[in-house]
Amino acid sequence: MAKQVENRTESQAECTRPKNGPYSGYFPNLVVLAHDNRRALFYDDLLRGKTVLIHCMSTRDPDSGQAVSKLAEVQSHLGASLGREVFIYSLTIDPGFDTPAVLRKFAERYGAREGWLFLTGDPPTMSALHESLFRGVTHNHDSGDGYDCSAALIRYGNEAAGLWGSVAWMNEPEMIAQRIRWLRPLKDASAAPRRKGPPPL
Amino acid sequence: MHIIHRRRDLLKLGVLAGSAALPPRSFAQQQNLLNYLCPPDGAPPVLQTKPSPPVRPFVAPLRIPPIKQPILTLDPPPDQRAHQRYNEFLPKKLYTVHQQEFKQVYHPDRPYSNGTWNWGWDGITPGPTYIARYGEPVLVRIFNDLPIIGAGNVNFAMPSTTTHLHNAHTASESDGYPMNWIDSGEFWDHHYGNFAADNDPREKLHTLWYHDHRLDFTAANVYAGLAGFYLLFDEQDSGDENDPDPQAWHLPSGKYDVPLLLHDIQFDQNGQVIFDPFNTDGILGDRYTVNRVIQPFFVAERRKYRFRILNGGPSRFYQLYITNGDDKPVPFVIVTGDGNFLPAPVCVENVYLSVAQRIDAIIDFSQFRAGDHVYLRNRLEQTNGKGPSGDLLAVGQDIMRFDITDAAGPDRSCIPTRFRELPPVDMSLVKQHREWAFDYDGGLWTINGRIMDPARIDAGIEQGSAEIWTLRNTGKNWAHPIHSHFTEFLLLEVNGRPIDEQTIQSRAGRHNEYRPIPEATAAATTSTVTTCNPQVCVANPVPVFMGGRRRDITTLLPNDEIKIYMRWADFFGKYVMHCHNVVHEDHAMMIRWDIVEPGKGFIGPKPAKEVETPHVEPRPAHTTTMENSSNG
Repeated sequence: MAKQVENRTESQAECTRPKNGPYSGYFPNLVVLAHDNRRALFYDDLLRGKTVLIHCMSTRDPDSGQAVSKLAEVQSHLGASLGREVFIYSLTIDPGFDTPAVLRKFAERYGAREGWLFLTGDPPTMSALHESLFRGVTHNHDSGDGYDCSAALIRYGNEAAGLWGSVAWMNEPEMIAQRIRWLRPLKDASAAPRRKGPPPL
Repeated sequence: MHIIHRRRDLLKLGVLAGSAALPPRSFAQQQNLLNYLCPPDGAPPVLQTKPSPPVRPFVAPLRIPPIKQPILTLDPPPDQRAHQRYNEFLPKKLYTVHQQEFKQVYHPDRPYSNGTWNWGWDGITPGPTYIARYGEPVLVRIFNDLPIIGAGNVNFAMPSTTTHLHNAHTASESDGYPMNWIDSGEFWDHHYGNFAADNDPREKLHTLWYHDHRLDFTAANVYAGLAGFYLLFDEQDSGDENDPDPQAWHLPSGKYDVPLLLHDIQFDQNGQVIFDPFNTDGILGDRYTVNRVIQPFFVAERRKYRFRILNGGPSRFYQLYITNGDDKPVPFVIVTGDGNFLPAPVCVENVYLSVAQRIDAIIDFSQFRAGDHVYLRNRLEQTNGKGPSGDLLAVGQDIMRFDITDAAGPDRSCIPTRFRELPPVDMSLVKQHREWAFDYDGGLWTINGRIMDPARIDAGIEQGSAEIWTLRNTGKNWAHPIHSHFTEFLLLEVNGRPIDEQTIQSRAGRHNEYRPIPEATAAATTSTVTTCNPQVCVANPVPVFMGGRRRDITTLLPNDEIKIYMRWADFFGKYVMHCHNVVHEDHAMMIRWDIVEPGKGFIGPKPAKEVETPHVEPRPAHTTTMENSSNG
């Protein structure tokens, strides 16, 4: 992971334009802190060119615990790709409480492997990130009278290609991991057309 | 799964606000990370910050998709073991069609004139129109020739597709089930029997459309262009206004039978389509397109036309008027709702179309003069993807223009006084009552609190039985056009009000309204002399046509509760019911229901692996989707 997530220093405090990518003009390229205390630019370091699962959570919310627990199972289906081309990001919506130290304990509790980052930051930073990922569902729904952060949703995306989808954490772990496989380009689509179906009954 | 409620409690404690009770050693207090804030190019984080580039309206001609032509043989031949009842419905016509990426011009003004990348069929979107006939089964081999992920220009869509023929009476394996996808380089054979359900001619459908149904990506793939028309004819709706057969209805035909597929599209400053994958409410575009042309014009002769108007989504609802420019609505005749014929034509002032709904309208332009301009206008206000606001726009927005010219010849087309009876409601067949509540939870659109899981069956329906379903919208602010595959349904009740054949569901402001079929229309239905008389539709039109009694979409407006009757015959297998605001469908307002053998029905939910479905599940060696192999 060290190669993908550069350790930002204070000297890089000036604004950095996001590098080119399908949604580089869309996602705020803000500095976030990972549970291992490393700093990263959200777009440049964490999204650009990568395949990711992103959701939002808080360590004090029992439902988040269930979602994180599910992702812990998803990890085992991702194999060696986790931390290389595939990353999981758990964004806290409670940055005032969820410091890197708190998140680190949480990550350890759920056995987060290399490639799964729990991210926090300034409250406005985290709000901006949530708003970009889960826009339109954060307010005014009449069964949720406030900020719900779409906590049941996991966005999954291949930001090298700019292809994004969504899956609910209530799915079976294998069904969630399967989404990552959908995002991989096929190696050979130029061969003679192949009959996929329907299969014989 | 009641995430919100618990979250609400946390909010009350001020826990989630983030700034209310910062721990003393919070890093956020130690350094102002906002120093690093880079306003992104598209700030604020909304993809549609800029309106689509402007165009001159009504300068682009309407594009009409070509008729799909059959071929003589398929190599390799279809595998008849793969299709239920293949030998009973031997294909009489064979087709191949190729899903491709290409540039197509939405408008001659720049930047659109440079072409816009789309997905479509045989190089066009909407794809070619299939002309099918009852009693003439067909087989369509669909090839996925789309570029692999990352190699194409339409990046937001998934080059992995499954094609649904909306709402054909189709065996499960040909229905475009959301998990039956083909990737680039693969093909799938779709066998369409083209017969009425249970061989009951009252079950016939006529205006259908095909579109992608890929799990998680239906909205993106249809928005990219994977849609087209499929028209079914028979000896009555024969497709020939000069048909000597006395059974024929002589509706306007040929070039006077025009499909109109409506999509609202958002474009970037280069004229390329923008899809927003991060908006779960539903997405709206700021450009009306008809058959993927921005605000086209259509040269119409002073005679009758049949327009098959389809709301192709993804999330916008319409209230459609015909006007001659002075804001005064011109009444017109509706002959079908959701693809099936009404018992009799209905004269309307305007039509309410939720996503995927369609009507066949007969518009008689002989009432205008050559040189007149007539407009198709939307007046429904909708400001977000959740559904219409309930208000009407003061003026409305013109979707397309009809430029009236003299007729090339005499108009021999007719509007019959009667079409055919609706299928009966036979309560003795009813084996089950089910209730479905449509709600929102934690960013998800839910049905009975659950989300789509292809490994779970939410209803086991016995072949040959009927059921009564109650569909309830528990939301105050959102609307759901609910669609169930395979069989159309009959409305029994809307918000407790019984609906019968003589009742028209209408609307007054935000409220449903019900009225008997108006006298003017009813009078016309008793006279054979006036059937071809355009004056049939001038007085006392239905104010808002909300669809006939028989539907394949129920429009659940806020707090609506609708009771429907459905009947299942002919095939076994897995199907879906879902919200046809396709963004809601993808997030994941959809259930799987199965048709099972008589006596083996169940209420559900049930894991699919616990349900034996003989004759329909592929043999293990041929498993194509993970639901057959996983622990789901």
